[in-house]
Amino acid sequence: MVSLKTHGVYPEIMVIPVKDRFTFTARLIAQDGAVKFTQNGVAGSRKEGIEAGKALINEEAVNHLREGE
Amino acid sequence: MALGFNATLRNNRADEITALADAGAGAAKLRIYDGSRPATGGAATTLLAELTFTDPFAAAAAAGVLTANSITGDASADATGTATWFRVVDSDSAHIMDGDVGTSGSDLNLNTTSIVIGNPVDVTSFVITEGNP
Repeated sequence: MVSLKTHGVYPEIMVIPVKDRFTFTARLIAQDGAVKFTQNGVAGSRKEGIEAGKALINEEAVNHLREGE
Repeated sequence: MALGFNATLRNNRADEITALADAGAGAAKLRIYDGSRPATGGAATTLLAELTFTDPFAAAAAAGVLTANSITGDASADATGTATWFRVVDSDSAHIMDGDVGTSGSDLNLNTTSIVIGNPVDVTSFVITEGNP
């Protein structure tokens, strides 16, 4: 995962089991608590949810760093 | 009278925390925040400090008690504020647990909840007692 702390944001991934699947929320949080990015999804397992969340965050982080925010 | 669980069940419940903490490639993290604690897993508030657990997180629980291995302190706090709650995440930042921070009788007790940017933050022990015997 892209190292973000030095850029003032950090990732969070929440994975919650719901019946036979897992919902996940991927977030990029600014150091002051402002939510810079959030996206939800569904995965077949907790691990898949984490991996999907990481991919979303990495993609968003690259954009975030590219924009110099 | 509260529910009572046998030692095997308590140990298994506690060891699942270790399994989740060690799920990422690296060591789990202990993040300390100010402000109002969100719903479990909810969006965080201002991050004051981030400490790092050892990988593996802990040895197997005994008698329902899980004792985390050593915790590396944050040599330089990220912000100034009053610590009110904490979150444990794995090395991929996947959520594991939240808890309250105080100076006594809380889930995580610090000698002071006043965190100052640039100052060190250390936690000397992290022990979870699972269920009721």
